[in-house]
Amino acid sequence: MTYRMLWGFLAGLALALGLLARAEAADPAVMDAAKKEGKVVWYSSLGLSVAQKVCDAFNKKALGITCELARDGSQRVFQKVMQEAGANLAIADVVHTSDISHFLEFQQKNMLMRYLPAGADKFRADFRDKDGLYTILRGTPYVIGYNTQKVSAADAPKTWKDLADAKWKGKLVHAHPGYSGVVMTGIIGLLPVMGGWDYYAALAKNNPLVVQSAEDPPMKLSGGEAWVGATGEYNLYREIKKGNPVQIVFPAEGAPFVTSANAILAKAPHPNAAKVFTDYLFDKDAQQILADDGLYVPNEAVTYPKDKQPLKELKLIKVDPEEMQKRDEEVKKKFRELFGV
Amino acid sequence: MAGAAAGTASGGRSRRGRLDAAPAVWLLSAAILAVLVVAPLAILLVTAVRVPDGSGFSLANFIEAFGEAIYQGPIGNSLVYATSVGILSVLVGAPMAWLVTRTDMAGKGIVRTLTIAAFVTPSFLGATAYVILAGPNAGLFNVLYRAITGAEGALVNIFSMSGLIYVTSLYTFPVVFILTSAALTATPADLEEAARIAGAGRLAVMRTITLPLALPAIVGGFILAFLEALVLFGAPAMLAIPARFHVMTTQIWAFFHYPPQVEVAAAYAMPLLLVAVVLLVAQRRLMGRRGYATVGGRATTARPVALGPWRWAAFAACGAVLLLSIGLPYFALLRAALAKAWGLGWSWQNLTLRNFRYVIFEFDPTRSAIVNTLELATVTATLAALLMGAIAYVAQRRLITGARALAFLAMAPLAIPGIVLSIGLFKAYSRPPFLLYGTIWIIFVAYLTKYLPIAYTACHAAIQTVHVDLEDAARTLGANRLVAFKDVTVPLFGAGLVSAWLLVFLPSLRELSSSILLFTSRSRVVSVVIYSLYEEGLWEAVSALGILLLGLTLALVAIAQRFLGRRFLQI
Repeated sequence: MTYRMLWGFLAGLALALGLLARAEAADPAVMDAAKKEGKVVWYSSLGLSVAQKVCDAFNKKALGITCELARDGSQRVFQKVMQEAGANLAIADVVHTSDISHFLEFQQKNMLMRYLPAGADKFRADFRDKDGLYTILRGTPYVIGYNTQKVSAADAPKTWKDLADAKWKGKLVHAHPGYSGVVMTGIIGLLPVMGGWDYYAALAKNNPLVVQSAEDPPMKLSGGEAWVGATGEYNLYREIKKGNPVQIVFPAEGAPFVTSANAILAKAPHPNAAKVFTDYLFDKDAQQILADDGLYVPNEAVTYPKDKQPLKELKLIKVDPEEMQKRDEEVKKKFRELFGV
Repeated sequence: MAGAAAGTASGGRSRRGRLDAAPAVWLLSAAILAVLVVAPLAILLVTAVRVPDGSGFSLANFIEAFGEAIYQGPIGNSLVYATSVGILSVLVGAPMAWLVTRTDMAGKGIVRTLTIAAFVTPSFLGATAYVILAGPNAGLFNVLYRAITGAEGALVNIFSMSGLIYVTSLYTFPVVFILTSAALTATPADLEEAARIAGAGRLAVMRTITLPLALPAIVGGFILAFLEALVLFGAPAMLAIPARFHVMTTQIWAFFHYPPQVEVAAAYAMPLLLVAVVLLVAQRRLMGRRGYATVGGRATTARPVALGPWRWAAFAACGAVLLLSIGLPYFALLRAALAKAWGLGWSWQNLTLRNFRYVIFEFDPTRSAIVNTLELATVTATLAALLMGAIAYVAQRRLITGARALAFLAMAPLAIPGIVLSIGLFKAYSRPPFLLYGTIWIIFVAYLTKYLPIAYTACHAAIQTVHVDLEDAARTLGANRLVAFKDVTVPLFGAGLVSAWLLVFLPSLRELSSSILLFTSRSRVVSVVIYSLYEEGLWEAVSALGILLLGLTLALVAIAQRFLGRRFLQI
């Protein structure tokens, strides 16, 4: 090999690397600093299997930054972030939960870094925070699911009111708003539509199996431990894709639309890696993973699975973030009173 | 025997003037024990009477904790739960102990071995298995029941108070079994035989001799089973919460949810602490010097009661208990651990090793939890064995005054429920200057404190078997105390230390009720991950981790019994 060839090769390599670097991130200084930080810690309430997929795909990019996933229920994620902040511990970089009131709380306590992911100006308008402190990463309607082997389509509940029917006594599964942000949002969305807590009092009379995560009801349905239940649409969609005997019902009264926000903490120990990771979460590849899992996402470049209905065709109940923050405590308290836990 | 005791006492006195390492050992031990035992308790007590914003003291936390109706329910639930578990454990454990120690029942060895397996099986895994076996709609028992009878309803519902009592008792009855069989083995059967010869019937012998002999152990066993249920977190969290009720431990855990009410939790924990102290003092009084099953020799075995044709019936009864406690749950866990997806049912196509690969290699939280747990268990067991070995030695040889105080401190954590201890530790170490929260070391402190009594008991029992004359002989021949200790005592004492190490290592592998309040995302342990996965309904992964935990535990017990024989978990 001659020197000339070697130089030519090296020059080509340098050019290729330069192009690659440009494809990775808009700001090379951020990328360099991120590589030095080496990892990003993501506290996330996204369902474990899909969250792991998102992390793995990030790690496969081999940017020299490792995604460390800490998956838990929305309320637990929030509890841990607050507990660690109280102890002056900076562990988490990026936080993601399905209870939008958490982000109002973070905001009021000045715990968030102002950062908009690359391309945010092209996102769906209803997925953005006006102050640019957080961005909605994904959305899912809160719906009813049932086991198709135990319940015929004709018998299945069509409305939220049907779900409280006494015929589901001992066959109902409900997740916990003190764990799941999806369920918290769902309840706060339904309360005004269903005429307040009497609806949940009726539901509680059916002796539901009270599980924690919104991920759990679909599994209780597919295993036949419960016949009907309420949870996030994407949680059910995944079970259906696996071939389990589960079906989704969009109740006639409407489905509360659960939006799950994502933000970087002001005291993130790996702030640059956090930026790179946030850009990644909202880029087409990661958003496609979420869309394939049955979620609705802000990035409009994705293609949704054919069997997903467009959002605008669904009857959704919009849940106001301020309303969420106002009623969080009340929901936990009333749920405890009515459901015993 | 009397001579040996006198020798110890006089030997101790004559040596007292000399300078050696003993006082330093005492000071160091006292300091460590004060930090481990006294500090968190003191902080817990202060927290309970403190106004949350730190502005002063009041009884407000107690009024909040015990005045609200929703927090009173769990107290009643805990009482019903713990009492029932205590009674059920006695009803199962005591007769089994009698059958194994006093009769010619068939298959005694198998019954003993499987009872030890039940003893080391964490009840949160039993609870997981029983959700699979006895869930009201999809549980195997109920599916079979409906298929056979054509009925619509459920035969059993594990998500209920009775279900919770049942599952917990399956793993607490071995405590009664161990204490009762130790008591029966340690007391000669001569009395019973004399009564038989004098013409008393079998029932009369049982009523007038055997039962009174075993009664302190049985009551002691009841107390320990009661306390174990009272302070248990895992099984209640898994079975009571879905059934829509709390017990005290799950309520304490709920107090830690946002916004956390640590002060109210501290107040709420006081009855647990009080009950544990009172009952353990009662238990000690009752059992006198016999204490734990590791102590106590084996008396001459008399001719066992001949059961005749009942030999096999009795074995079948014991076998049924162990089938429910070990056989079926292990089968259910193994089946779930090998399932591709739980919803696919019991078919042969639904088999895979993927779940094991997933929890060991692919899933970050389980992988790091496995490493953390092994590290924690190793460090805790090593330090506990060394520290308690030293204290048991100086206390037993009466090398210095005040050794008994050390022994008392070492035994005190027995009366501090794990979840209660954690409240104190959380308060003590979750902010500067002592910032351990966020690392595995706060969990280490919890484990070490919690298992000091086990380590001390094992070391104390072991040191009593090493005769002081041997040490004196070495000293007479010119060795100083340290050399005598190193060359004579340590080799003889070694098996005891290994036994203590294992007795701490094993429960550390599965500890949940302390860890649940102290873990963070970077300091997770296996039991906590199992619980989190359960909350998400991921039974396949829960079961795979559970099988790994049980496999390691049972392998260690088998190795220990092979090499340490009677010195380990003697029953």
